[in-house]
Amino acid sequence: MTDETAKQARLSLVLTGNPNVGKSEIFSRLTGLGAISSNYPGTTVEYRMGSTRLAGRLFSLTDVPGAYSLASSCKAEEVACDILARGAFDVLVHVVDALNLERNLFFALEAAALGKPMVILLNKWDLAKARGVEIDAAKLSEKLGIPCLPFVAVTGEGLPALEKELPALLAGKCVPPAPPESDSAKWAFIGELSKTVQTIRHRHPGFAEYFQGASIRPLTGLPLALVILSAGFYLVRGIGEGLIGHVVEPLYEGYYLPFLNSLFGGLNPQWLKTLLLGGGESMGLLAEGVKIALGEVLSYVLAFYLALGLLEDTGYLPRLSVLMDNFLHKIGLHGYGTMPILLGLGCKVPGIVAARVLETRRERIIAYAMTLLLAPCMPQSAMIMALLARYSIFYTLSVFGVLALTGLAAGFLLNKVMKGETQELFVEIPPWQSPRLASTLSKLWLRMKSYMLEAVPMILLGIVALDIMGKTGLLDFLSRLFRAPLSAVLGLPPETISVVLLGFLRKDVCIALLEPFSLNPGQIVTASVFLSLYMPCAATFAVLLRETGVRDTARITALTLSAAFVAGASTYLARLLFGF
Amino acid sequence: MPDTTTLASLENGTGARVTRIEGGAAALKRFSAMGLMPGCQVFKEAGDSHGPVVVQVCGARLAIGRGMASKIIVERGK
Repeated sequence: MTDETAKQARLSLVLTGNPNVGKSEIFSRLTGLGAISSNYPGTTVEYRMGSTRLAGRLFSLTDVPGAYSLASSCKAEEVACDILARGAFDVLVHVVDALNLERNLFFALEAAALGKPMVILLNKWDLAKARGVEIDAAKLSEKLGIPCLPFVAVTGEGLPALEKELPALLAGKCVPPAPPESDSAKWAFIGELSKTVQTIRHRHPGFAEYFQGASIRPLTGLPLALVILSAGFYLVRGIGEGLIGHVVEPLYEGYYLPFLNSLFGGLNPQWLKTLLLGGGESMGLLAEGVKIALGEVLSYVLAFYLALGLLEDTGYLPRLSVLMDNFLHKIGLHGYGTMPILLGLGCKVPGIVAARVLETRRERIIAYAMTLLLAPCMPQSAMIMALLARYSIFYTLSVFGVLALTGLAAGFLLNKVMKGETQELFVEIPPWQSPRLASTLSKLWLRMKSYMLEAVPMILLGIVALDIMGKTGLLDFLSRLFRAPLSAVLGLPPETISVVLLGFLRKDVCIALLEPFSLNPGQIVTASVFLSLYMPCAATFAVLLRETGVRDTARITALTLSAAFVAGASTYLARLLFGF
Repeated sequence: MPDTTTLASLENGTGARVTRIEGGAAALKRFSAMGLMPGCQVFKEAGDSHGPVVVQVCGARLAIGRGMASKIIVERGK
């Protein structure tokens, strides 16, 4: 150990490996920090750091996005390659999927060429055994010249063995010998190697294998996708509505409101009482505010992420991307563009980040636009559905229909206008997997936690901001200023400018804020369409800036704003023409 | 006379051996990292006259865009 590394507080470990081998689960296991894992490549697109105590020492641990080789083909892989190329770490912990030893060894050999102390974890050892895959770990270690340890991330099996190997690794032993240089020599070496260390008992092609074919051929796959996605939609709606109707409303009306009133009923001064409990134009921080944040929106967000988690963990999503490939090519994306769009149905922030799996700037920009335009995020969708629930379903469908059409039109347009070719789909399809309840639930918990920490304060802040704007007369001033565009172009009362401004903070709150304006359902459609499109919310805006820089963010915002006026004005025109 | 075709037009449910791949260095590297390179055995699972193809190679299942697949030359049979 050099003086310099000794000065650093901690030694560092780096977790590498192919996509979808369970690095995130190992990271969670070792650091106690939650990390979302799913059964498809590209779940982790940026590196994460944490610390872990192994063999009585403190280490920093970096979880690197999965890659197939040291040559990057997209932004997510670039992150991995940069970290490895810089070499600012002490030990390389390379994770290999024991179920797919052969194809995982290629990247392992490339990593071995870095000449760093290295250990291989043969993850999913239990699953491999159950499926009749036997690996002679001792022989593999001998052949590769580095320790190869059976490991099970979900149970922690193999952790003691790793701790036992650490001193040798830190002493700079266990540096792998240089692997064969050319790719074909590497594969030849791997072929020989797996013959000697691995025995696979014959497996009968089961139902999953049959289902595999059916899920990706258009003839059977498209109807199947329709069934699965509709089931997902009804699951979300069913759970969302069910929670609101049977849990949130009764609790709120029956217990919470009376409790609030008895607690603060005699509160003075009056403005504080209005701020907390609502009344007049105010929604009430503790009344409606809490109901929106922790009741209505939370119910839908929970339902959405449960459904998404199940779809992710089975491995269905990459199959869906194969089916969507043909269609997405028409708007300048290949099939994997499905991922950002689908994640964006929940929240735009992870959707935007997920676009890192796409190869070119052109594709990422189109993906950002699609993620933002095709449909609102779940919190906003929830409020739109809630607000329009008392009218005919026609209005709700209009909102989502108009948004989908606007998004598609923008996609066709971008594909025509932006120079460059659409890249081709090239992605590994993971095997089917039955979701493990514990990991699906812990992922749900992580996502709900981030909703609570990030969204809830913003929702409450939005309500306070509206109160302040009302009190100071700012609202009156702004509504005079924006009277023309709002009423002439969109047919909305000018006072709704407050809602438009707040939409930048939180899109769900701004829809909820339409309530006191007693709009007719047609106006709600226009307002919902406009508010969904006009601008990304503050959180999304920040992520866009980080991912694409100022110029592209400005371009994308210009696009969404124009889309909002065109789509919003069209619904107004339709209202005028057909009188609804 | 070897019976050659492209991965795009290979019949579903047949195996073949890759003889040549046309493409830039970056694309070739991407392929070879997945084990897809001249000499390797592939098994075509799915893919029709348009849209991506799905093949098994080195124990992995890959979805490959149609354009790419038509640049991968294969030899039918064992």
